[in-house]
Amino acid sequence: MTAMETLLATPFEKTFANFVDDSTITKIKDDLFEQYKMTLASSLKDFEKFECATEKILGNEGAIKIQETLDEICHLESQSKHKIEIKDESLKNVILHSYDDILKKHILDVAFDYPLTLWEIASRVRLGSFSVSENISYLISHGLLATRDLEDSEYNKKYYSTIDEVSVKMDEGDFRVFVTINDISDEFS
Amino acid sequence: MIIMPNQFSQLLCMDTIRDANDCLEPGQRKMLACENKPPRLSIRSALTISKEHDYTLWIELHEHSLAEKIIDIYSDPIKRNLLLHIDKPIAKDELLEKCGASLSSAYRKFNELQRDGFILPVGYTKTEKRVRVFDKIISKAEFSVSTKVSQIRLQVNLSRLPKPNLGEPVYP
Repeated sequence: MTAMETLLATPFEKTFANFVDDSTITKIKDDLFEQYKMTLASSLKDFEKFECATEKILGNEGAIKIQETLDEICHLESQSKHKIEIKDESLKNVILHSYDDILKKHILDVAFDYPLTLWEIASRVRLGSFSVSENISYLISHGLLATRDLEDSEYNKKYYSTIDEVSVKMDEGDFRVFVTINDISDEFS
Repeated sequence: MIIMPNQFSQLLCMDTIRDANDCLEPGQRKMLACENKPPRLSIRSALTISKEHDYTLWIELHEHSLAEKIIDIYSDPIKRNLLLHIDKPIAKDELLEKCGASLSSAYRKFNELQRDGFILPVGYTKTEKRVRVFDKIISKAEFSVSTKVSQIRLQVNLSRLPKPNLGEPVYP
């Protein structure tokens, strides 16, 4: 599971439904559960499995639908495999909101250099436990914190920030958000 | 170096920007500073203004709280939408309608942008009932946020804003 897969999982699930009908999605979900005991959302964070299931149900058209969905939510910048332009409006808002919020940004900074357990993140942030857990939960559910230990128990899972840098370019009516994906997941793989 | 007060609205006030435009030649730059509040009174560099060509200035922010203020504005979807929908001087009601948010939220955010100096009244419409029109002060913005560094560059285009001492223009 990579940082990129985690970051794009939520908008991908939402946008994929625009390209594929409900009955096909149900078949993909059934196949994922039979083969890997996984939900659709989890498979999007382990994208190879999702691709296998989609191509099994849709054949060659599966790859086309996946590409169409990806084109709608992001654009890979050609000069770097780690830099992408975010096109999905809700993901743009989540990223900007998280980097604007002091506590969320602090959590992302703490989990930036190497993966940490939730307990380690909370103890390093040193703020009220309720607000820390609420904010960590927000960051995990929106893909800004990722884990590689899908099989491990929640107590032992280590999380890291999926984004290295956010850059914004606004030119009159055009507003573009770029993110550089944190490559520490490559180092730990 | 010029020492200036520590309020953000004064940072982007038209007088400061016009003054920089008047005293700089294209290619030149100057640094502005602000004061820390007592008891630790000190002066720190707040921003650099450089002149690209006549009526086009770039502002680079060095002061952390000013940078945060800019990120805060572009992170807010309603404020961002309001700014993105201004492509020419526009009446307040028309802008609030275009923004797509609930009128009360859009109204509140509009007032905050005006208070902070990001939106300015620039004249009146030519229609029978004179309606005040507004324009944005920043035409381009670029910033990046990582764990520690925030770099912010803003482009101000003075050609769209009213000239001093000429009265406010009327738009068709």
